[in-house]
Amino acid sequence: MGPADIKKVLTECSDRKQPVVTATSEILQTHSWHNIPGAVIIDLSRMNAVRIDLQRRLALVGPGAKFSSLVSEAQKAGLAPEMEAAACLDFTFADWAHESLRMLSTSNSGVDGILRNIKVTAPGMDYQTGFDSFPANGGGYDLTKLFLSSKMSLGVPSEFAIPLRPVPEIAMKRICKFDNAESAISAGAQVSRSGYARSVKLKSNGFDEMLAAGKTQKQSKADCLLVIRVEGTKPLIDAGMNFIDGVMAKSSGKTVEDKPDIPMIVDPLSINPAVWPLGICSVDTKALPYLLKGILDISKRSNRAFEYTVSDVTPTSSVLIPLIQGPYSKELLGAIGTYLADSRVALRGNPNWNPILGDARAVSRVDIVKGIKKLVDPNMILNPHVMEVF
Amino acid sequence: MIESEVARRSLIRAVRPDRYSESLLERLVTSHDLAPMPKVAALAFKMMPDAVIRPKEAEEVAEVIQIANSWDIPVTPRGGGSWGFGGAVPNNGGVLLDMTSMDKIISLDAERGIVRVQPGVVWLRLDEWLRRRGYFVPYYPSSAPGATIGGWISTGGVGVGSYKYGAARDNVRSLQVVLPSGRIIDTAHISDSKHPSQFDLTSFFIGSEGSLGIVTSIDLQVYPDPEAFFPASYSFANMDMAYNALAKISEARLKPYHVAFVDDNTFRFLRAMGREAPEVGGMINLVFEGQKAKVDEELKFFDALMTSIGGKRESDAVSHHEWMERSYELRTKKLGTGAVIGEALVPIGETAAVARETLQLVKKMKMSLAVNGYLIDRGTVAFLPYYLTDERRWIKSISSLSFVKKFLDISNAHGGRGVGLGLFMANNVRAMRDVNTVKLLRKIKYDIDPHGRVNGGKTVELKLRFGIRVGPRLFRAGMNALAILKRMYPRDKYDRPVPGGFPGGEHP
Repeated sequence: MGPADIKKVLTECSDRKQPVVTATSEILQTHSWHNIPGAVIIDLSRMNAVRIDLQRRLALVGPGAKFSSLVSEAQKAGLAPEMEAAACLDFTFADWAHESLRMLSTSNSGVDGILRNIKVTAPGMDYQTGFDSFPANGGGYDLTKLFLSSKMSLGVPSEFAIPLRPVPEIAMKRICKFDNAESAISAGAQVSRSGYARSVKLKSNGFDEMLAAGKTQKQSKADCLLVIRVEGTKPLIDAGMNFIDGVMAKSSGKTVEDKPDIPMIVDPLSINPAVWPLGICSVDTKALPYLLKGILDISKRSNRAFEYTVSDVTPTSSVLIPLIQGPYSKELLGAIGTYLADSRVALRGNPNWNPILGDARAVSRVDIVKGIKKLVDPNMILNPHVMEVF
Repeated sequence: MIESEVARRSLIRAVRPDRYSESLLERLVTSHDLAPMPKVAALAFKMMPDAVIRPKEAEEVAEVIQIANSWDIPVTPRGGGSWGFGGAVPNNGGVLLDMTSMDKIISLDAERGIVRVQPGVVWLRLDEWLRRRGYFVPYYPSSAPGATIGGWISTGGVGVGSYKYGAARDNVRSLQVVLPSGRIIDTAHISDSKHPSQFDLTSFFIGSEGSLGIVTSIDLQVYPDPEAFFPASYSFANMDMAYNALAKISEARLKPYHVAFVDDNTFRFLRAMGREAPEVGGMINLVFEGQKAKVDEELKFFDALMTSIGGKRESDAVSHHEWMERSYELRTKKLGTGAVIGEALVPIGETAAVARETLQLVKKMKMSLAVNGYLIDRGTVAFLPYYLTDERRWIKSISSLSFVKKFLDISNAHGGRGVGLGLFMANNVRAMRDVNTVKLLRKIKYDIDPHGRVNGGKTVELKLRFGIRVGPRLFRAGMNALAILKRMYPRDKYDRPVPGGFPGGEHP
């Protein structure tokens, strides 16, 4: 399937006012398209080409390509993407797009640093969200972040333009253990701000075991691991490690391991099929310890262990991905899902962000998006469930 | 003058009498930006506003817009006016919102490193304010002493520090915007600001040049004041070597904080003004910042790299001087009576070719030109040629404006594009984006602003004062005619001769 085929399907379905949903790899429980009766499903998994444009130092990636394919193709050219697979899971770019790239660690750069342009096919028209070769400044409106945060309701992506950088001379990973998440997050934010770290992630102590071996603890524990990636030349890495030592000395963290970093990317289909990400939650970093404490409380009450990873720990915002290993009940999944959703609303402390509650500012914001949706999808057929929330 | 007395009174009531003005002086001052526009341009655009209003709060902006909607009055927001494409200049009169009056630094969240400011705060003032509190803002326009935060963000925001810290959109966490309907929105919540979810509109408004709404508050990511800060300048025998050095820097595994270049003509202009300037073929200015150990290592790494490709490290005094001059690249305009800048983003591998063809163009057009610029990321150079102009000779001056269009054609042919659109370059959007995307952008503009009142007729379309849309063909034909006219004139002369002349030996 290619953009021309997508165009045909969308045009036909738009004429018939038949709903269309985009299928990604079905491993994220956050997808809700299963419940749309009579929908045509566009499976993007075969659009998996990865082309490297050496002159522009750019990768042009199909939505069905996996992150590991990008890394391996770029490596052949001595290059690497700016992003990392934060949750270690080897999703396709359609998955990443559906989840706003939130499961990709971006280190100190924003979306712009890791993704330039998306070619989009929509029922109303084809368009591009930005520029392949340049940051999208001052050349008309930038639609990239808006598209990424629309859960593919504004079109079907057919190609992502991803800037590449030289492979670093050396990359090291330092793992530090903490007995509580609050100290770990505070130390992580400090390291993130220093400019030494390429990425800073946090994960529960049993996360790797659950992911790789399917082993699980009976109950979640408070201890956690801060994983700091430093790269560059040898003296620069030494300087970075000295700085991290200083931060650890002032906190309760203890370095448990230093090793050359080969980022782990796990095919989600190869891990224990009973392990599920329970949600992807953008949170204010300040509120993160509170959220993690709540997850521990649910674990205690239900006598079930949850593991988690926090990608991209920054002083501002972070992304929390809790995981669970089955068997599990709908009630349990519901409990943690509701807890995360309620906490997000409560912690924001700002009703502007609840358009469902009818706040005027949120309604105006959603009106803009609805207007754009109508322009690109006049019969509102594409992933209609996303807009229905509002 | 606002024609309706009722509308006039309503506007005065919306702010306060002392923040509403119809004085000729104020309207004249706000009828142009950095680009000197000859009076004859008034045939096409009504650049003089009917009234200048200085709001203090978002609610006042909202009220002004609602009144403007009721009386069909165009509204143009304006920051420091330090850009050169007419983005902050009315194209059909109306109300000009002088946003420099909204100049409060509202709060600093030290833990998250986020500062909330009103759009009229000037970059230099914000940096000084932050430094007193142990923070700094590492990205800003080279016009930081006069440019406002809202203005730069509206243009997309690439400049000093973008090489390491990204563009404005990488560092703006949220915006408060007054929409053309008069309603106020926040574009993103802090918890989603770095990792977008739920329809993130922040980037959508950044770079929209005030045509989708008026920004009234900005949350910016700021950083702890660095432990060490070190500029290092390297001179080269010619600009080809300097452009090659830019490519090598972009391929390096480490990243300096800022990478800028200055050509030999800039130094010749400076010498003509009687200022001290090195006699070199070109200069690359690198700047490093961060933890001291990190800065030392980066300096060592780039020192070896630059020396290996023919660069000569200049003294610390010269390096420091070059860094301090980063905001004064147009100092040399005193040689004429003004200067006009062309701004383009050029793929790094094409920089030398674009420079060569630009110099050939300048020779044909009998002008004098200098170039400076900087890297904005590993693949892109912001290439900024500027020529001196004498606005007292208005035919020659207006015919010189065709250089900017011709220069952008050169950069487009090499895979580059203009930096912005504004009023004068609005038709260039067709060269930047594909046809379908341009159609979509126009539809979006009119969906959000059905009557095109807020900074209308710009950015995604070019409209004359009578609401007539001008297509790129007519614009191109006009510019070609001006370029031919310019070639018919004798070579440009300036108040002071430039020692040694310029490539092409143009100076008498």
